[in-house]
Amino acid sequence: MSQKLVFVSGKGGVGKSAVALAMALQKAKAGEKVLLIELGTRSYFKDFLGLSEVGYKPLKYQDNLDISLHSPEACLRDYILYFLRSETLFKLFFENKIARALMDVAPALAELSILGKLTSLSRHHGPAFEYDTLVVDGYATGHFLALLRAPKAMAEAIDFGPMSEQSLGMDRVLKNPQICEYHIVTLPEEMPILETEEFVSLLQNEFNLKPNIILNKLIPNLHDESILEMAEEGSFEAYLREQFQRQKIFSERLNRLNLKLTQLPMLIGETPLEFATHLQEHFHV
Amino acid sequence: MFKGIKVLVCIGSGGVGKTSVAAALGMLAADRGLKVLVLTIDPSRRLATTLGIQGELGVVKVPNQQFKGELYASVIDHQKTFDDFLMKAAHKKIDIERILKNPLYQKLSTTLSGSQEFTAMEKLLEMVESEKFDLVILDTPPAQHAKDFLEAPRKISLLFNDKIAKWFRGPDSETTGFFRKMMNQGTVQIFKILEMVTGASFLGQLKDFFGSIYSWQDQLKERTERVHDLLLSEKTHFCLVTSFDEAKIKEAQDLEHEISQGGYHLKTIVINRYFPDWLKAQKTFRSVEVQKAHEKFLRYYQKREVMFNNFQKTNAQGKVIIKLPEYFEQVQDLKSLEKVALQMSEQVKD
Repeated sequence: MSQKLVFVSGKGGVGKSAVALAMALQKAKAGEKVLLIELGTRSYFKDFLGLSEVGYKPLKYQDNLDISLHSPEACLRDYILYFLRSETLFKLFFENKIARALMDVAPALAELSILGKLTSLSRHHGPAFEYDTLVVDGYATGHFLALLRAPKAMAEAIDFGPMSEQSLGMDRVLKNPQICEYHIVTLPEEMPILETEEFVSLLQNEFNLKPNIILNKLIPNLHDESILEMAEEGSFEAYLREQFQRQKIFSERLNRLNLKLTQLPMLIGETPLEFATHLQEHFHV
Repeated sequence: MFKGIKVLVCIGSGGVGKTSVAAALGMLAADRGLKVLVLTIDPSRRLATTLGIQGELGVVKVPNQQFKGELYASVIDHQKTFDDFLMKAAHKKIDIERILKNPLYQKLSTTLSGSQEFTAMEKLLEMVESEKFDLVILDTPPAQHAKDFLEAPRKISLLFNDKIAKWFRGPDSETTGFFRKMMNQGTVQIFKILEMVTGASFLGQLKDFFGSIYSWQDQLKERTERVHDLLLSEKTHFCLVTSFDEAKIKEAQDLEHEISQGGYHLKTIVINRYFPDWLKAQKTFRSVEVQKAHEKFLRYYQKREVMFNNFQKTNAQGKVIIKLPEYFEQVQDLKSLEKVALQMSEQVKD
């Protein structure tokens, strides 16, 4: 069984999670068995979708679509238990203060635990969640970069042993375009656009990756925009005029990156789910 | 707002404009006659240029300023702060050299989980103890949980706790077998698992590391305790930054709860991107299309306002709330920062 990994990242607040959900919905609709994964220790989708709980164990959301929250601890526990095959021994380890203290500070252990889990099926190592596609609602750009860099850093710091070997395997999977897809979500605003340009540059130079760009929350153009020309300063019309100008400029900047660019409209006055469902139409599998 | 305090810590989840707010608060304080230092962790290049700290080490006086007081800024140099701390704490010179040469140290100091937070706190403590500033404002890394940031120093200091060090400082020189003679079966198992998870080389280097730091463990512990006391002090206030967005407000609620539970003094909440200037009640529009768009935007923001009012009732009692409306421009240059500072000034006494 092979598996595809779809990573969605972007500056904080750009709409990563909604986009990730929309992609997951589209793929599930197309017949793929999808697991939507959020990273961290606090679930966003729980509130977004009004679910009672979202944990590590995949929760069925719809046909072909399950959701899971991958925290570093849950991933590591899964991994260790898989190899130990003994609950008692496992408890002995995890309840030991010293072991916990060391794990708390072990460099990149959190990142590797997560990546290890995400790539386990592709590497044929460790317990894996068997789905056709994993859609990962990734961390914001800075943290996401740290995540991608972790395997190589670990392999360099610790030159032998299981973690090191596994790390190289993880690095290979992440750089394999047959397996991994990267999407960067951004907004028509200076800071997100600048950050996207920098992030793309890093991904290309350091990892040889070609991400897809998603420009989100665009105000749909009016049929007649000439009426905005005479708008008073500080009025709604003036705001619209400025935004349209901005959107044009930022769009051009993104086009210059020569990557696949998808433009998504701003959807106002909808519930989160209506929102994700509408966005879904923009993602053809 | 700034009366009687020495430290202001800005916390908040990612993407809320925390760093810009910290800088604007610095300007506000400087304008009120204080000598202020803004400590940033990872400012955008534009903001760093505005503050005069792009590519600069150490503390810089922000250029082109005209305040009653003075505004300084600095980016926390992670590696240098860690090294400086080491120099101060070690008793013998030979210990320092040994540590600096330890390949694990070089990696550890920057990649140890929590080390960034540790150096941020260490820098904060250093600046406060220098007594060169009336007020130090600390910008923090974005956090889902405030405790990730606040407990980081304690986690690092636990690592240097004597119990752990003893684990490694066995009589043997072998990395894997040295303690087997003295420890019980359970510990051996634990060690095996740790080895599997982190690698034998990591543990071996850690052993060497502990041998080197033995002499200054107590210094580290003391330093960590001082940071902890500083954070809990009445003269240290926390400022929670959030934005006018459903998800961010929920995160802010959790953060506020955590901070209050911890006994820290959270006195101010800054809500960014509030109801915008350009979305006032408008009677006439240039076309039906525009009117419809206006209606949509209005409904959108009104919904968020309801949410925010709930937040205010449950989490913001007794706190100063500063609302910053959305601007056309992005807050990055001096002019827009000043605009933000002015907005804040109108809502904040003293």
